[in-house]
Amino acid sequence: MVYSILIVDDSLPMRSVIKKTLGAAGYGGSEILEAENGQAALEMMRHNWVDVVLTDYNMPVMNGLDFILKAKKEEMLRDIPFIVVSTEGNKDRIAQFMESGAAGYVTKPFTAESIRDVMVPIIGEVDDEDTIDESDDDLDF
Amino acid sequence: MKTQLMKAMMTSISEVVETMFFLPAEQEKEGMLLDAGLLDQADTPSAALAFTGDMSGRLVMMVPGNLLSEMTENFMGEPGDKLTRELKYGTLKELLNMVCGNALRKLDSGHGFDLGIPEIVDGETVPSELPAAVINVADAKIVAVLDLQA
Repeated sequence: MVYSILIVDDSLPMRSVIKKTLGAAGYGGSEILEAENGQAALEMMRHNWVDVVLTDYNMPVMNGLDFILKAKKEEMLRDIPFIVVSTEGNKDRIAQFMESGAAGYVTKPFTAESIRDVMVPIIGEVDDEDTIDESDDDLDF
Repeated sequence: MKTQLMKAMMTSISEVVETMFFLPAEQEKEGMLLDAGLLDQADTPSAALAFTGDMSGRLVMMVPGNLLSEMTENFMGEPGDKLTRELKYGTLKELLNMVCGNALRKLDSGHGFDLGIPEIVDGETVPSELPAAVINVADAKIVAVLDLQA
């Protein structure tokens, strides 16, 4: 199964790391779209097929929470699952994300396993040959 | 709580550096920035991140240029000749963001902390008498400076 995954983070290095980690988690064959804030992501989602969104919270222009709330108000976008990937890890904040409609939450720093554990229940299993290779140090983080 | 926060920051630096940058990290000492030995090094990019909550202030991290290059290579999985200064600064800001968020979660009393957006700062403007933690990473030193509001 090939997915279309949108990564929303204002940091180019972090987008690269998430992309690399998705590969290690078995989603390496996916189409990856990138946006640097919620506003740019909304525009991208209106013109591209997206299966799942991985979004940071703390971003300039439009933060992750406002991004999710706005997307949930648009009929074409409201069913797309959102996973928040953020350093913001207190219980109140996580509850706020989930109440806004987020489907999952991953705390930074993360591993391929923690990304996969959240992704699989939301968008499904990855192909067997793509699953995490524990023996590869470059990918095992 | 200030002491707890400094210890949480030191632990967090080790965890983040080892998990996301694949480098061994060893806590060296706590003291003042003045004693950390980085102030006289020319190429030491610095970044600051403000936080508010049960305690408010900012965390400043200073990483020698050579080490930051190695960390950026490991973080992004790109060879050094493809790494621009912007990417290295972006990596430093992400390091700071993860360290600060991870440390504050360890101390979270339930009220939560709010983090600002990391920014590159001039390390020479950071007061040298502030408390600082030194972490040894790959034969270099990362310094974290805690600047709490009164």
